[in-house]
Amino acid sequence: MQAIYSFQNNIKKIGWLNVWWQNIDRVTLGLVATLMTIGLILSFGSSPAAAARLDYDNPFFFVYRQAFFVAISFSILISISFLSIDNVRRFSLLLYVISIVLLITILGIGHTAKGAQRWLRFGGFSLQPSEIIKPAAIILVSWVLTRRVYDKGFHAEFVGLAIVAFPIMIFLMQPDVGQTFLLSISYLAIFWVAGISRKWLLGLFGTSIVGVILLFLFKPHFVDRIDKFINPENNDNYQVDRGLDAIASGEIFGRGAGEGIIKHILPDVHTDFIFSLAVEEWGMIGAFFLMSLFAILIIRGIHVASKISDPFAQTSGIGLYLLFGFQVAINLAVNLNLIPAKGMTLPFISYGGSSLIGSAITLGLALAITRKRPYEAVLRK
Amino acid sequence: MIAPNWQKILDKIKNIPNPKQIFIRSKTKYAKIIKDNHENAKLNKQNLKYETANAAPMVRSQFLGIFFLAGFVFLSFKLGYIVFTRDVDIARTSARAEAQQTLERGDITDRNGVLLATSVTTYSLFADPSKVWDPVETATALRTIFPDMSEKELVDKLASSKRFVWIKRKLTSAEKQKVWALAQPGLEFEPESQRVYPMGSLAGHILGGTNSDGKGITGLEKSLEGLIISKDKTTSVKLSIDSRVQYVVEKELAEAAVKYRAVGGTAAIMDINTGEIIASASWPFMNPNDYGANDAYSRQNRLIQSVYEMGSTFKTFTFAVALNDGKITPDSQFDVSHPLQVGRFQINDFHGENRVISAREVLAHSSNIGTAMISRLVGKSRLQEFFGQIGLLDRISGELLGAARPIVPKTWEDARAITASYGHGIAVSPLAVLAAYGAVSNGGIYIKPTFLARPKGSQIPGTRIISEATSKQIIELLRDVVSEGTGRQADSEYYNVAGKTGTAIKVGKNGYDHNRNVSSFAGIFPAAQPRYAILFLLDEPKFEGGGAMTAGLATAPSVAKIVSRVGPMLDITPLQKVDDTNVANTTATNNGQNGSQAVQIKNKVLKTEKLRAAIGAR
Repeated sequence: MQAIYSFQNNIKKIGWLNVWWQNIDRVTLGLVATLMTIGLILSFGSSPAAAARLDYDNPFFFVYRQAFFVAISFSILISISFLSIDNVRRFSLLLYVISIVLLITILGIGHTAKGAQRWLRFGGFSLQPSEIIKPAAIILVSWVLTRRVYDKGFHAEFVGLAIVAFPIMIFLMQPDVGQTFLLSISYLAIFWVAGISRKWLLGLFGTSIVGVILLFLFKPHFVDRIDKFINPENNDNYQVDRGLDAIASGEIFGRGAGEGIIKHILPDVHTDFIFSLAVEEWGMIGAFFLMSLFAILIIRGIHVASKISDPFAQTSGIGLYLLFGFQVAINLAVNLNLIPAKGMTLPFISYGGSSLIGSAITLGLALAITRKRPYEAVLRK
Repeated sequence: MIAPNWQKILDKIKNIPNPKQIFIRSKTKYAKIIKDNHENAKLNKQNLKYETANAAPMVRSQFLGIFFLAGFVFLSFKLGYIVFTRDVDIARTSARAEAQQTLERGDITDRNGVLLATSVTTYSLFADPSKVWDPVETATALRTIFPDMSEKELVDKLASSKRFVWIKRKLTSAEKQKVWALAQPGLEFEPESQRVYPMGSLAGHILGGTNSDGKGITGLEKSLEGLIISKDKTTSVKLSIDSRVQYVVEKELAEAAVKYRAVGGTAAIMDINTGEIIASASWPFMNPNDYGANDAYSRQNRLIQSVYEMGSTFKTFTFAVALNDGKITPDSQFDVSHPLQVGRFQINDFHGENRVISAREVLAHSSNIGTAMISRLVGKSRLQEFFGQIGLLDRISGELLGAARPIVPKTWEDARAITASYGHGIAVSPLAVLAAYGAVSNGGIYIKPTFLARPKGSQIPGTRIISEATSKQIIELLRDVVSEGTGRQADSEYYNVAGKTGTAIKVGKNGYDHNRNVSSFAGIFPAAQPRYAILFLLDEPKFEGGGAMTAGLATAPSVAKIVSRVGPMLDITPLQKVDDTNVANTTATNNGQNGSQAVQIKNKVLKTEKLRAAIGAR
């Protein structure tokens, strides 16, 4: 009790903001701020092209909005990073429930509209709940899986699977193959990290394979994309081809900021193909810089999280960085024509409120979890 | 209470952050937590099902870290690969690219400026579905112009959520005008270049083909992409091909291949002093106007992309090195009355002479035994070296991509070297043989073959491989083959031909299959003043009643016909006997003026024929 008393006393003395600053993972925070800035700079290049394509009068339409979203999402990131471990769980549960409700609502409305509907519109903005449910579900799964440490009779695997299966089912109905894929591999990884038995792991892996086969059989949209990827000559793989053109024309040093040519004919240049634009304008050098920022953020994040002694914090921290890392990797791989186009944004760089807010929530939670907190460990014991 | 090891605990506590020593820590409590964690970890290791805490996830996350690191390294390599290897195809999308950097494929012409490949502008129709008011109305309107298109498909496209869908590629200008007149919103055009080959299948294998995006896929269209595509529309590439000669060669090749039911064939003519390929044909033909319609078998350019065991045409090279090194003279004597035993091989002759004959006769009667004896005099390492010098042991590099790698003996031990000396156990591309014949007959200089016309007066790179005197002797010997040996049928009435036949038995399921062979003739014309090398090859020619033919019968007559026909086109002075026969209308005479007139008439006839061929081929 002596310790707790002294601790509370000291907080009063030095101020809560100071304590937060001392405990937070400042490298991650700095990297996120840098990435957001780079995203903003790149939006100056992509916005005129995208605005012309989509018939907006203001060429900097997307710059203004991106700046607005950056401000909002950075605030969200900071706010979430103040959460305690218990509040991280409560917050995630809340997010999870809200997102599920929203997703079902959209699915209901979506039936009246034509084609895939993933967005919820209000005012001049739209929200994609699938971006938000991903980190929330990661936290919940980690929570459930690490409960086994304290409660050996608890069937964590079933509950964990249920938490995962629900959003995946909804994504499949939308249909959103990219998000389904991302969720599946992230969860498989987190199950593995949490140390579930080999039997379970194999079972889940088999289920995923069966899922892919079923997709092939029943989703023509999906088959079409894979087919386009495997036999590019038979199809107008327009978007990916233009992306590759943009990358190749950037060469080593790039055409220079705002000087891109192929960006004008590259659909989704401001969202999914922002990386291609980055290479066209900033060259291979710029791209390597951007990639190394991501690499440091992801690999170091996993490392930092893996050192935490609290099992829940450890597993969920690793899981959040994995989720983030897989999304980055998938987007880059699509841009570099290694896998079929997925409709996946590059976190913090691509334009889009939902993407930015989703990424901010993911890394905000990671920051909250990896905060140094000797006192809380004391309290829980 | 157990007394804790303070030093150890302090070390661990260092890792538990307490910034700026603000907090006063309860040392005992920390010690207990650390101990608990350790015990927890131990417990978990014992019970695999609950190994969650700490140690195992740490190892696994290290693995994940390495996975991501490897992933990023791989992505970086792929990025570099794209940047350094991808050709940016701005041409296709020029209309919508702000820069309007119009790049077009230039023309390809033959050496006389005859157009072989050119580009015409067509318009492709695409839709921006977000601008389409009523998909059904637009679809119905479009179907008045394109009744073949399915209404359902059109409506689906026009109602899709994409911003760009192709409706129809490569419209004629009349169609474009009609679509324009529909005045439907959301329909737009993109100019696209369409590649056209006015000569149809003529020289199709050399030209290669382009895909629907106007990108070169094979042949010169691919390998010369850098030359053909340029901002300057007037850029055109001049080939070494003479389309008149090309036509004759193709015609004769097709005739022989059909007559003898060959499964494939190739024929080519090369200027031995410049290395320029004047004609190059491969059977079956390929029409580049619709590249996709040709099957893979026809697409293969057998002159370059195939390798064949050539048989006796190789003997020329063995003779060249033997004469050059002074190992033999044309009159050296060889006893070929008995088969030659080399290791476990026994060497026999097709056309057995069973006596002592001169080197001259060895070549004329194509004696394997004699050639084997000569190759022994030369020595296996020298033979290997010489074959390398005349380009038989390496892939021919040059403008045409995808040249086949020769199949050569791995080791040049006795038996291998000796069989190679008469063209067995070694398979090379016909082009390599043609180039080698050029080298031994042009005064002894190896010149790399080219498909591009050499500018007049340009320096021709080459390496000397045999002396000029040896080269003259080789021509003499080859002339003997045609005048009194196995190649008699190759002699033209108007021009002397020198050359060598070759019949290589093909390998079947159980060793050599005597019903299938590769027949070839490689030679030089005119023999008196060698200017051109010619090669004619048929894969599996058969008699009408079945059974394999020999080169002397299958290929030599076609060579005679080709030489007779192309002589005037190539301005070769014919033999005196031309004057005796009344052929002034069909071929050139010694009189320059009449000669050129004859050539002109001939060209006119040819042009009509070619046009017919082109139309027929389309």
